[in-house]
Amino acid sequence: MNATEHPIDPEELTSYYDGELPPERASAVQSHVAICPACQALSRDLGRVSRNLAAWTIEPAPQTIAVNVRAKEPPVTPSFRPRWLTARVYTVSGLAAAGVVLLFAIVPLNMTRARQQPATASATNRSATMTSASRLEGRPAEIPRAAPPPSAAPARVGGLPQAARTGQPSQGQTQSPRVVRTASLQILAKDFDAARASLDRIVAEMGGFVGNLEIRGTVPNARLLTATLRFPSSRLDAALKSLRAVGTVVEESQGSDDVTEQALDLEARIANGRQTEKRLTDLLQKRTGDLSDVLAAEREIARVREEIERLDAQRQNLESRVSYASVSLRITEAEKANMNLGPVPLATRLWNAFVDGFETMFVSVVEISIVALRVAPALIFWTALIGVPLYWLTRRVRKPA
Amino acid sequence: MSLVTTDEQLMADVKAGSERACETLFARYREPVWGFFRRRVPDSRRAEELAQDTFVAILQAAPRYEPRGALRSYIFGIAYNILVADRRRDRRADSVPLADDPPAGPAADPSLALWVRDALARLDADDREILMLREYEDLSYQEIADVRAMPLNTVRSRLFRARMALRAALEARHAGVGHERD
Repeated sequence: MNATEHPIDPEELTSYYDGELPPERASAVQSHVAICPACQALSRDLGRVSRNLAAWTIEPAPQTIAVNVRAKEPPVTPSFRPRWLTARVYTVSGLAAAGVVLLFAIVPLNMTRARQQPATASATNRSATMTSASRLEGRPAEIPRAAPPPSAAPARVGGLPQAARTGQPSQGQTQSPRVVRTASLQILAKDFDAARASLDRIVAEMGGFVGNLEIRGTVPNARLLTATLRFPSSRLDAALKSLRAVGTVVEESQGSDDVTEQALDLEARIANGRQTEKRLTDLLQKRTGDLSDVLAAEREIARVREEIERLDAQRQNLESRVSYASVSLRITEAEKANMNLGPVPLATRLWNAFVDGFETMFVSVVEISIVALRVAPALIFWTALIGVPLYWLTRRVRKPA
Repeated sequence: MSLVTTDEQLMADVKAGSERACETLFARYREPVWGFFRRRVPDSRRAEELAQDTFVAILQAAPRYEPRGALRSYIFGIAYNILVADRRRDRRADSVPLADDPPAGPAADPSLALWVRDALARLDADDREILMLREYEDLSYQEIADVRAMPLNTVRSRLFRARMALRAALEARHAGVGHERD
């Protein structure tokens, strides 16, 4: 295949396929491809390669990326702030600040009222979270059970404290509202190690424990700590206050779930089960029936006991959730690395120039070789055809002289 | 903000502190950036973290952003730098270049997807990277040259070489399938 019948090289055809050729050259390539079977075959192959590559699809991006990015977003630096602090942003920021101030003013007030007047606490018009907090704060008799003194409950990982595991409800507790409190905090920490140490200290001081804890990433990359912490419900607010001081709070939410009805239902079912068990046991002790009746009674007792154990486990789990609030914590380290691309380094530019120069040299050697190879056979032929007789004739003419 | 906002206008808004522009930028580039890392990092959780790091870096660098080229190449440039830094740290740049677990997603032919991943893994690292930037990130030759900081001609020749290698592998695969059927 020579240049006359194949005026484009395959790399150029690839560029044409990718739409990377200038228009005038693209139309020339297009005209050639229309008449060249080899280029048509190569075009088909390029398309086939692309289609096959497209077969490697991936799953959609996890939704957590959005949240995490927000969590890792650094606080706005003073040098950056003046560029975007427009009047509108000032207004929104002002309203938000006022809201926060109002919130901080109302919460302690409500809590104080709740402590002083537990009977009227639920009558106030507040959010579910605040109502739940007030209810818990309004039950001083229960707090000692749910919140052991700090010295009695050091921080620990992977297990409920004894109070939460075995907490047997008293009659008074059965009648009281049961509220499961949860909170979520996302914090951006400049000093990750200090934040980690503070976390242990807060958990120990508040008589809580660590449900699970995971740290991902290595220095110098931004590290990420995710943990589920459990604090005595009565000390949740104090714990959250301490946790907020660990770094910059990027996101926070609190929630509550009133499980009073669920707890009462469980206790009623357990009580019924125990009565049934007692009746069956009495029947069995009398042994008035035949053997099949006795066996049936024993099977029923086993089933009822199993049911009671299952319900009791549920009740204990519910008790632990009521006694110990759950805090989902996420601490991200402020990004340290500067990923700005910036100008290309001098060494890279020199290397690129070297590569370009080397390529140019290589291309020139190849081109000269191609020209030489194209011309050489014809040159030898014509030299032999014309040069040799001419030389012979010249010698013959010169000889007589 | 309308849907037809150009990348450059969007980045200017981000630079000016518009939260909405940040969200739009994020929505526009979340899948591409995720795809970039997911195809190149063995661990999906790590890929997720690196994608997050990329967006954090973009937001951090926004005040200093100068529209010298396409935003797309700027973003993938940052992503590529983060990827290289991560590989250098883990010292596994060439040993485990692509995702370990089976390809996920709505692949019509899972075996073909697996084959594509393996065939790409057998390519020269630079050739593979350039081919993937072209085929999956849909970058132009110039954008690839910007991202990789290499001459345009090198991009062109390496891309051609990678495609020819894949063409040969594809022919070998079809021949193998044909033999198996025989």
